Amino acid sequence: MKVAKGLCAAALISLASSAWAERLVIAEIPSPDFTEAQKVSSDEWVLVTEISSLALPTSASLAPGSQRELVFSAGGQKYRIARADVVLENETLVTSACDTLALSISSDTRSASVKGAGESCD
Amino acid sequence: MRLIRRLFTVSVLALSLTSCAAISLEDKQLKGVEGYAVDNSDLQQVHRIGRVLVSDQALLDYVNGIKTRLDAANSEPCNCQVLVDTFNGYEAFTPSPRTILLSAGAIAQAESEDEIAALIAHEMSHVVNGDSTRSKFQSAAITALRAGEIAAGGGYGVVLGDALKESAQGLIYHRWDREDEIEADLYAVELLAKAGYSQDGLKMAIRRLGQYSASALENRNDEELRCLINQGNNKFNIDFKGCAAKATGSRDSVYEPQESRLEAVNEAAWELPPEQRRRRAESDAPRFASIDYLMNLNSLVGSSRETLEKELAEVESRQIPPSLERNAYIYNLLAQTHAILGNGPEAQAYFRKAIDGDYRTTYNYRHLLQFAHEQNDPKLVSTLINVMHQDIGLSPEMLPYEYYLAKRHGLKLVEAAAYTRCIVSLTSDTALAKQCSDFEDAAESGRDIQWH
Repeated sequence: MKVAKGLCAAALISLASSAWAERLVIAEIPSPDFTEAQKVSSDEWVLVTEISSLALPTSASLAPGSQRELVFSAGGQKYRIARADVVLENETLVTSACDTLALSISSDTRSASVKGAGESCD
Repeated sequence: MRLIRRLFTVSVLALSLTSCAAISLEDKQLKGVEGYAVDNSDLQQVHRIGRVLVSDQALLDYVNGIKTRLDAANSEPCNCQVLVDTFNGYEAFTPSPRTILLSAGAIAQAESEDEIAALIAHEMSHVVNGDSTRSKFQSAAITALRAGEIAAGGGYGVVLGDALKESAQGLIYHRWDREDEIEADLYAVELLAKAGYSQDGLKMAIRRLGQYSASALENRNDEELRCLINQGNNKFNIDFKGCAAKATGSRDSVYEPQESRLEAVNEAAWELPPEQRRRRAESDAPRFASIDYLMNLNSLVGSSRETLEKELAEVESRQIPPSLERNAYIYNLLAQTHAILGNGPEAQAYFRKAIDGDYRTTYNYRHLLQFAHEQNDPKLVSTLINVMHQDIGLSPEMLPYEYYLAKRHGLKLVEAAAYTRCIVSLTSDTALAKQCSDFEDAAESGRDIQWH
């Protein structure tokens, strides 16, 4: 009876944790020739172009305890990859220029990022 | 806006009687914090674009601590400091070789200290390589070209002048800027690695800048530029300006596309030792009350009247952090929002707080000068123009207004100075010269002008 209860609790925990784990989709790897992933099982680093079974888009989740690494599966192996190296489906990385405030923007500032952001927003 | 314009008597008098003496070109210490002396022209440049620096000691010590760590790893330390302005977008820029400016939005949205370090390292390259100084030389070269061309060609030259301007801007954005940006990214790759930071922050920064830039460009209201205009019967007119813009691509983008920047960064990072290129960002960027408050102001963007009233009440229920209590940006925004909602007394009260703050912006002077003009007070107009020059420098945006007011109120010295600047603008900014001319006509015929 105790075993049955334990199994039931484990199943519930498993269901709950999978429901809570954020499901993500890797849509693109911008520079595959210079991007490595790490095998979870052995910590071995491999170029993503050498993971022949990897087809994009593919689902992924955040690596345990990290906001900056993702885990994906390919060919029966799990791999860790930097969040910075992948583009996620429907990702929003920054507040839109039209959703930020600008009382006045003039043209005499030289910006290394973006010039005149928001100046033409409705 | 009419309400906010009306009743500024107390504020204007307070400013003219008390604040003028307090504003000095010699005072370069950033007010509200210790240990940060700011170049006056950098300060004025920030105020001209409606922003104010954030006087948050902990924030400035934090970002300059990152810069010190980068300096320690660098063979050529940057004789500069990092400051933060109130803007909520994701930006970093270098107004002069002495100052690196990060926006509040960049600090708020960076995921890690490594990302902030990446923005600073990138800007340090512009400082060390003199890119901001070089851009001034480039501008001067364009001005000289246009001046020579107008002198030689008269009216014909003015037509070609616009085409030349397009060409020059196209060349700047598509050759010099692109080279500078890639060079700065590669500089950052090396410096971040040496200082023990991850490359991930730089990659995320480039991607965020790319996304932010794209959202800004999507909303740019460029008129459709046509090179050849079909008149029918196989006859075509040539639009020099449109042709130049198309040929140089000056309207296509503002900065280097993120794809090519990322490619260059990834390729450079690949050359680093494995432990450096595989390093992950470790420290989260800390939270600052000033930054949180500024980002919360985004809730006042683009709402219906009911939503705006609700959001404004929510913003006002929050206590302004001590580091922003004398920051005109906050009060200008609250004054503007109240004015939109027709709440005159509240708008006026916030506007008064803004001009009693540590610094004032173009927005403040536009309203103050309009008020002084409507009071028909030449002495006050003259005093305000002088104070404005100290607070925001010689603003191209305000020049036509100065010229108009000088003529209307018989301020001969101000008129002579403004007239000279208007003439000089002929060689660098034909739109500004045209506005000067329009305002001159209005002043001479006693007509009113559009202030806002």
